[in-house]
Amino acid sequence: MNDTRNIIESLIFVSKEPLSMERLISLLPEIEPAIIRKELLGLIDEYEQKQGGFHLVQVAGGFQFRTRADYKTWIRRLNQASPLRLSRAALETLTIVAYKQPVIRSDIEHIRGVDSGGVIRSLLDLKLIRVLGRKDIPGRPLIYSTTRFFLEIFGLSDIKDLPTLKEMESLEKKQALQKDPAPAHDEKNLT
Amino acid sequence: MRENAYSVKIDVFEGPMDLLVYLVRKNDVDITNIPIALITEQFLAYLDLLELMNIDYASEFIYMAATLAHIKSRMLLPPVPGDEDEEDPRMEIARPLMEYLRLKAAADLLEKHDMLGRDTFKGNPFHEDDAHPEDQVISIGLFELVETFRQLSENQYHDHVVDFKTNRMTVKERIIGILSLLEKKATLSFEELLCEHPGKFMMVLTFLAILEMAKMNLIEIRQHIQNGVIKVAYV
Repeated sequence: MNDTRNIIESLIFVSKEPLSMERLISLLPEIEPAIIRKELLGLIDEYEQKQGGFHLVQVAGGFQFRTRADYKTWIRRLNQASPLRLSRAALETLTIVAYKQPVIRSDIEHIRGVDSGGVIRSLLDLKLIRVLGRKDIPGRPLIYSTTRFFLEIFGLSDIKDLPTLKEMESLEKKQALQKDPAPAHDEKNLT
Repeated sequence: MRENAYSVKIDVFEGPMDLLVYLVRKNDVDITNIPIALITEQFLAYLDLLELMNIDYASEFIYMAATLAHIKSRMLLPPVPGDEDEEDPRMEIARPLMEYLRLKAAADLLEKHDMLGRDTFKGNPFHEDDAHPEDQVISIGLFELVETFRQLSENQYHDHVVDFKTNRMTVKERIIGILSLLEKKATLSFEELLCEHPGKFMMVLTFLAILEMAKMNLIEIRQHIQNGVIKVAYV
């Protein structure tokens, strides 16, 4: 009876890329989509219940087995490859592209207040962002957006998974409330 | 220009926004209620310090200092009669500052995500460069294609002679030529095709032919993940 679940499990295990629901459904025409969906959710649950070394996560629009972050220390001993490291500037620029996409370079520089050409180029090289096209305004600047690889790296299922900036704001307020109220500075010291 | 043979460049603050954030935090002031005079003073003091240390700073810093001074001067002016509900001039700096802080916070949050290869790992059923190197391709976008063309044509083209006598090939003829090549060999690299006939005209013609063939769904254009080679293959 639980054959379906095992089939799904084996497919996800072997798949190189995160396996999407659509792909699963097309691979298993003999099984009702509703059943596939139900068994997949059951499978995810099973791994969460088990609290093992890895679990089944939804990422970049598909499903993939990934190790739990708790075991990164040991896995790094095995896996010598150095992980992707992003500078602060790269991280900030990437965040702006992620939130404001489709975005042009001048928008990014407007927010950061600093030239961002070099950072954009390195993000393009890392394939975290890509060129979408050109904007129909004078100068025809390039338009950037994040890639599927970006979603995979950061374990996001969809770009909508990012907390909205509005949510960020309420988070900020919460943090501000925890702090002592700032002493009010008055503007006496005019220069 | 300064004559000093040695100059040091350090990026303590990446830009004026970074410096402003630092000053706001250091003074523990509310962004919507920034004491402009105090912040401007410290901002300029920092620029002086940079100058003293012989560090070049970007004009963006001066622009920001000017903006701050402008805001202060507007605050000193009495409100224009009849325009009482004019907004606080400080909003001009508070708004972008808030947006920048919000994105900084979002960046912090993003960094805390479990990153693949750093915190979390996926199983590799096959080792990366295993048995099927041909499978390791990604479909590429137009921009990568154009970029490759630009690189190749830069390496290639030397003479600027235009020869009107030669019989110019048409895109259609070129397509037939490429097709016969593909019949012999299932896949061809973009480079092979472009360099088959040298000269800008032929390169452009080949490029157009490849695009046309892709549009007609005759061929597939793919790029190898590791070495970046773009290949053209029969569908």
